[in-house]
Amino acid sequence: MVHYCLYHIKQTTASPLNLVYAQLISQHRKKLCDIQGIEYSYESIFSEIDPPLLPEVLSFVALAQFRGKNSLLQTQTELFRMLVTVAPDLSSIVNRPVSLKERIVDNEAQVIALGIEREQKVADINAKYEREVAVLNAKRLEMKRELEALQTGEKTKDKEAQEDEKLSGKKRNRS
Amino acid sequence: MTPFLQNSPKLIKIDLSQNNLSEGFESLVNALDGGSINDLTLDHCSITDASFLGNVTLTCIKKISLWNNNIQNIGGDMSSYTTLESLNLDKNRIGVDGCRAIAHLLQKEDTNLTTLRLEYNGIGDEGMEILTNSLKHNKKLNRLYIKGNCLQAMGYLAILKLLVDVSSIENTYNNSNHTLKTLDFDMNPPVRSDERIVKKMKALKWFITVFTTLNKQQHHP
Repeated sequence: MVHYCLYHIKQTTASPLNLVYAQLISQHRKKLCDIQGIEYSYESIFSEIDPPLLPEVLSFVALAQFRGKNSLLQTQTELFRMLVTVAPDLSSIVNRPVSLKERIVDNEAQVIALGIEREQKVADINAKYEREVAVLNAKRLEMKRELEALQTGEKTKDKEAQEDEKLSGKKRNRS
Repeated sequence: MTPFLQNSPKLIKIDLSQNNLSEGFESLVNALDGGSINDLTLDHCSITDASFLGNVTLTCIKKISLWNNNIQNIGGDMSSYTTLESLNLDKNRIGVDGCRAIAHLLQKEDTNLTTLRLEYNGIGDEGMEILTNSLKHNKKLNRLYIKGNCLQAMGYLAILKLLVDVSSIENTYNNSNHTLKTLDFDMNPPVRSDERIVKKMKALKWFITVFTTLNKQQHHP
């Protein structure tokens, strides 16, 4: 997962392990900054991420934080801590009414899309039902005809047998 | 011996270890000039000046071993030795100038040096900084042996910065060395027995080990 995430930061597979270990794990980064005499802050890493890649990066903050089974990610990641630090500032610059209106429009669009999907599914189910019923009806009709044919054939044989018996009785009486 | 060497175009390996070549080294090297030698071993030969190597062209050379001489001068520039894959200079006294000469080779894009042995050479922090600077973009050297030198915290810090420069993501990613996989070093006791320095050196050692291990685990395309 880490490799996948880092792939989005930069599209090359060179040395992601070093980068994760040194830059994305808070404890390590803090110690390394301390040793190398570099001023440490959560936000400093933020400015280095290209804005167009920010959604991707933020999406894997959550993934790394909650789904990570890798021992490297059991600790808090630098990105998560960075996000926690800047979250209040980010929230304060969001235009709430505009944001809510946009979300309502999105919501309505989702409802319409769901309705269309439901109608499509119902139409598909109905068509399938009709096809299967038609097949079953056709089979039943065929079986009925077969049965009738069989019954008609047996009756004819019985009549012939009775007539044969009658004729043979008459012959016996004459003699 | 010189005429023999000059008339042996198919000679590819020479091992004259444990002979006294303090006087004869220059003649030997000159005799090899332009030849097809690829393995030159002159261990324990009392050589003090190896700068003659810089005056000749050994186009096929892959391995040079000058272990346990007393070399104090390896010449100003080794950058022509791009075919060299292994250089053993353990137990000499190459010092800062020697590091500078090797640095010229390590900086070259077409260098093929994968193993460099510089144990017990009196290399201090300055020499190590020169070497680490030259290795920043080196993608060939994966084994470096530097035991028994006089490194202190600054020297180890230079090594750590080489392996992982945390000043930015870009520097960690593109300006750190991800090729060096074996770094054999020991930790000299700090000159100043300051507890803070001791702690720092321990941390440096720990991180150097971690990052060389990560380089080993790394998949390189």
